[in-house]
Amino acid sequence: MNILTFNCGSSSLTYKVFDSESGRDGKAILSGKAHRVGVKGTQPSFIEHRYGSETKKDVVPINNHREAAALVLDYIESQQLEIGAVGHRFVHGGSRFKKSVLIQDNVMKDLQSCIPLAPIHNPIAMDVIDETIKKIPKSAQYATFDTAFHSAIPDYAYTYPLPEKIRRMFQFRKYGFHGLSYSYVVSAASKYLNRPVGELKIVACHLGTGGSSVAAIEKGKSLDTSMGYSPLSGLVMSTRSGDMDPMLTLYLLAIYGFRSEELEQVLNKVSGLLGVSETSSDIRDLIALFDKGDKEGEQANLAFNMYVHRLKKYIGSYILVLKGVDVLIFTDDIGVQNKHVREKVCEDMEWCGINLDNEANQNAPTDRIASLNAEKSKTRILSIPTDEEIVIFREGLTLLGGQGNDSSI
Amino acid sequence: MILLFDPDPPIVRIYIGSNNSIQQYDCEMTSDWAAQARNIIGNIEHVRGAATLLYHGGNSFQNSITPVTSETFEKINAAQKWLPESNEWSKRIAGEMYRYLPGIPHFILCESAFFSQMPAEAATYAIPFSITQGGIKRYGSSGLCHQWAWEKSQTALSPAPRKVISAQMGNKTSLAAIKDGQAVETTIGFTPVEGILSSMACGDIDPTIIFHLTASGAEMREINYLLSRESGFAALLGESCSYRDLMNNKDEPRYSFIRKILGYQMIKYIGAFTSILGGVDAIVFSGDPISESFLFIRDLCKEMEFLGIHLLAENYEQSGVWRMTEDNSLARAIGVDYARPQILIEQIKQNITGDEKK
Repeated sequence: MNILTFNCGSSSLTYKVFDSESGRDGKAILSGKAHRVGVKGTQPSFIEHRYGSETKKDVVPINNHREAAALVLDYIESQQLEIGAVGHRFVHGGSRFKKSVLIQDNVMKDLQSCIPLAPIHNPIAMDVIDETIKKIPKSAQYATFDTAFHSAIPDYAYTYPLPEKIRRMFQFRKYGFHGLSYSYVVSAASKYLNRPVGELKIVACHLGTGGSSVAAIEKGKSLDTSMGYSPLSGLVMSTRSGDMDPMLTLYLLAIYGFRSEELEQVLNKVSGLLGVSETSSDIRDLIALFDKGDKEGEQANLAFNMYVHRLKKYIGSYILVLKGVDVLIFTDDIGVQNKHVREKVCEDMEWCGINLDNEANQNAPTDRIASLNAEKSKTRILSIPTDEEIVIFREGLTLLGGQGNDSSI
Repeated sequence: MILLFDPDPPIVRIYIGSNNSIQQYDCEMTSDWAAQARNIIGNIEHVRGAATLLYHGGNSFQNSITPVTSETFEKINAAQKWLPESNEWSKRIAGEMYRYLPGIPHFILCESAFFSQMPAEAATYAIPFSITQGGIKRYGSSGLCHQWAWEKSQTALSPAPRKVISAQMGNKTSLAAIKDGQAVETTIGFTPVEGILSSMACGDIDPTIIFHLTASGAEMREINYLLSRESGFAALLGESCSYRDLMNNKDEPRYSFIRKILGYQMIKYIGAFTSILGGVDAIVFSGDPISESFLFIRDLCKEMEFLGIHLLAENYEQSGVWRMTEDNSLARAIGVDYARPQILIEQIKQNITGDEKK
């Protein structure tokens, strides 16, 4: 049986088709990614498919994730591949979903009730689920949630100091996200360094083209992470503000006259790199503007510097929380591809034993794990292309039975 | 005699410093406040100088202590919108005293000025430029204390530290990262609610929480009250709780949970600021008095040995500064008493002497 995995980023859609007979480390027989989905940048959106040794790239307008999913399903059909099950990454399962689940009618309703918890990711995942059910109604569908990895965060780190009644009523607490990615990179780092997960203190930076977060990980468990109740808090992201003064949010509502839903959209969709630069949500576009000495270049610089500044703050925080750091991991698109970000983040970090090897950083491959630290560096620095899909695939094997009971992902 | 005015709605606090003593008086913020103040001041013959606290200098004040001139009031006006009530009173008090006491030096003591030159990447919110260009940014506060703490670190420690983190402990704990005398980061943002939880305010929370509260039908002023008056220590304890309560109830678990959160948030900021400074040479803890926080600070420092903090077996005092770490400690820690009115009046005196020398 073939299992298709769908993974929505806020501006991308990644997919893979695995043969379930290939076991838990299963190789994808087909994979691809839609890029710049719904992005208003200076470059066009496109979709790539890799099948065997062939790569096909189509530069086409992709206005939303539903269109991206349709392009994928059409391509799979054109290759005459049967899909037995489809696994969807679902960002925020609230308190209803603590593990992966087969999607049946009653589940749909519960999934829908989770939409407001992650206003960027959950609706697009729902759209992709909906489009898939329409196009291949006979396949089984299941959802895998991003919040589980952070379930060990201690109470003093996840509690917001609000009245207990309010906390309970709204289930306000830190949940954290990007759990699939973190569990992948932690096991990949451990394997690469040939050191057990149990003895590693890791700060992992998941830097996506949409959302980004940092996590402090000890013995394979998350101790803290930069996203909170929702994926809006924490780092400066492509279009999200990250942290801000709660009173500023109120000020913008009361004095600036935003309606609540309107401001929520502003902070999620037109803030972050896009809001500060007024040019693009894509950090590569901003780096390309650095040498323009005008106002556009100045704002692009500021946006980039803010991105790095906020990231450095979180890395420093988590190093002190962990009382040291053995491995600093950069992952996801920006983490793996952007040497400028890594270079700036690792600047002046000798205080905690982080020393980047400039040459290794400049020449780092983007398709496999790479070591980027200088020899003298106490901390290992790794760039690891994440693989949330393999995690989704493994969850599917477990859910659909058959492939044993190994639940480690 | 030195006069210090502190607008603290609904009262104006007046400190009168003479020789070695300071008297504190309150007058109500009413239309006859000036008459009340004149009564309190009494004989004006010996008044050598007067200063008024300004809690929000907007972009108008670059120095913590600024002599009042006829242009000062325009500058306060420009910052008016950021803290309307308090700033209005600062302007009224400073203006009234400027007229009532001619011929002596007057000063504005601005709590946000120390942070006015913070690097843009630290001061800017990642929200649309069209919104922030109206002046919305991280202004910081408690700058008078943090700047004083930096100056203390320079005289108390040898060699003088270049990368300093100042932590002001109290009902509203705040931290600042200071490099070569210049503030480069702070916990307080657009308002003092941002940053570390306080006795009544929530500190940093996910902005989405506010949207969920509004969606449930809560009104703006209710949310405002909730986040700034009913949160923080009080929310976690279930009843009003001051910093002093927190420090004094050492053994009760419900207090130790709050201390754990406070300490954890401080550790995260100290780590963050160390990262921005590229290391840390010294941490200055200030409080009124700092001795009430000693146990808490020692526990905190034990958690931060990674920074190269090596605690002494016992703190000891030397010319008004509590030494907490070994001399060879990579990062040194000291404790200082920030008795605010005394220190501010002392600073005013120094400024007057400075003026006279010129």
